[in-house]
Amino acid sequence: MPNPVIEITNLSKSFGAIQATQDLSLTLNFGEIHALIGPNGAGKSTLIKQITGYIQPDQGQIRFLGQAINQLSPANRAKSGLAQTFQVSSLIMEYSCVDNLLLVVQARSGSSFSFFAAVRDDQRLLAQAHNYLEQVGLSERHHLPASALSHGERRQLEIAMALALEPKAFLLDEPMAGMDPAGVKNLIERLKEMRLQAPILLIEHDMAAVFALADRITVLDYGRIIATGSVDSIRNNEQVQTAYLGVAP
Amino acid sequence: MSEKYLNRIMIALLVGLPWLAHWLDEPYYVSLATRIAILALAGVGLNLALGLGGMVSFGHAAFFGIGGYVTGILASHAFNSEPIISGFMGTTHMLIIWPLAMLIAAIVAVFIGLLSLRTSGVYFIMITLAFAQMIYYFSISWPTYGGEDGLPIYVRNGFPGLNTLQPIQFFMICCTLLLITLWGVSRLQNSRFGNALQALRQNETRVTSIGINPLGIKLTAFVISATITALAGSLFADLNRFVSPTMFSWHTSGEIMIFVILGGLGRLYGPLAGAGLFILCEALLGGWTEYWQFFLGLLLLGVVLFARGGLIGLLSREQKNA
Repeated sequence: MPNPVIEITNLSKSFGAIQATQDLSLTLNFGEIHALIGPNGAGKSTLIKQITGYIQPDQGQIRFLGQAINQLSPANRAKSGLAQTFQVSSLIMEYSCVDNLLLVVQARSGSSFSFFAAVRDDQRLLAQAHNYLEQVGLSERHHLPASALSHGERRQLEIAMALALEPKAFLLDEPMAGMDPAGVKNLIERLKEMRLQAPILLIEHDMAAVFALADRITVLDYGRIIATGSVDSIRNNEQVQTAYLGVAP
Repeated sequence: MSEKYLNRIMIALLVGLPWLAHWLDEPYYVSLATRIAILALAGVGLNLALGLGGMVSFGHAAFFGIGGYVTGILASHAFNSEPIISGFMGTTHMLIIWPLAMLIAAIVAVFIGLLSLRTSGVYFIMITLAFAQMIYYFSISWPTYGGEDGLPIYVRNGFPGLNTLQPIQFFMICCTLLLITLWGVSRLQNSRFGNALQALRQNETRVTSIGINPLGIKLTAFVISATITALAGSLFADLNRFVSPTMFSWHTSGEIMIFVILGGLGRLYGPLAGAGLFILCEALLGGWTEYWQFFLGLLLLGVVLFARGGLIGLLSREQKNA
């Protein structure tokens, strides 16, 4: 496994007069959870979108597993092993839980250009889909359409879809948002397991969760990195405390 | 009544009633059923793009007309024994005309699809409409093949072993093609491709984020959809033994869309129900008042407002989970 898994160098992006990303460099190393924090509008989601390919940077390079991926389409970046979950749950709402996963397993295991054989007759794919559903504890809900799930269950299903991609890196955009304390606790445990499979770039506002999980924390403000380092060094960084953690100087 | 059962009844009626009419020596009703089968086939084509893929194409008349004109042009050259280009004669064999019509429609669909599928929503509707209208005006201003007056097909094209001029035999050809296509689309719907296509309709970002390239899937569906509608256009030309620019007009696009919506968006047999209802309305109400489309409008309004699953959803009382 090449290290770092994701390497971003001198990335810049502006929308008109607004600098959403300013000369930003960071890495995601194998085995770590790298948390990205910062106030709303700091450019966290814009950064994720540049990594996943939905937004093209003005300058700078993004390397994934040692390869420059600036020119790859979002679909090809996902295929090469970048899994993401969204700030707002993004599911195939009319599909059942198991069908949502079936689609991911199908996408990972070959072409979608097969026109005659019924995909739901493929026992191997079905078994894999059920397996991922079980991993997040949604087995009993397998037949329900995603639209019938609660908020917490939808987030679980998103995690299962990310797992089913068998990715080389996870990009998780506020996975804890809107979850109850029990759900957050569960998810913290799950993320600890997921990091063993692939490193996680984690955007999160729940500071307790970030401090419990992160190996490294990078703080963004106005598209720039204002601090980066271990949990303790960020906790004690005065600049961070004023900009973000809400402590008076 | 389950949707499956309802579909079987519709097929039984479509296949059975024309034979009854044939036996009672009422060829008018046989050709009415042929019209239903052909227009349903055009609808099945659009339903693939619109119902399954969520691509609101307001330009399927382009493909319907291409099917028709390829048929008319090939037949007229064969009839007059003039080569189309040197060394390439026309033909009156359906088995050659159909694949050619579908191929040319596919090529045009790749072109239109590549340009229009980069947009979505209202822009997609407008671009597909614009392309169809461009072809419409082109056909009007092309005097070689009749221009505004259209192009007659003097003898209905032939099919080996059958007398296509006999209404019931031509009906059986159209009906068989419709059934084969319905079977094919039902397979496609449940395949890997259909799975990705229907997911794309619901959430394109999600499908992209798991590594499926949306443009490839949508373009392929659009092209298959176009070829089916072109086949229907070819049959329609042979039914009327005449093609005219009307086949390309936006009214035709609208009517095909009405078949799909009346019958039930995304329902496999929806276009058959929709085309059946449309043609029967035209035949029954049209004999009573020339303003029959007023009642069709009321019907469409009722379906859109109260029966989102269309006629099939209403009768089968089965809601698709949405």
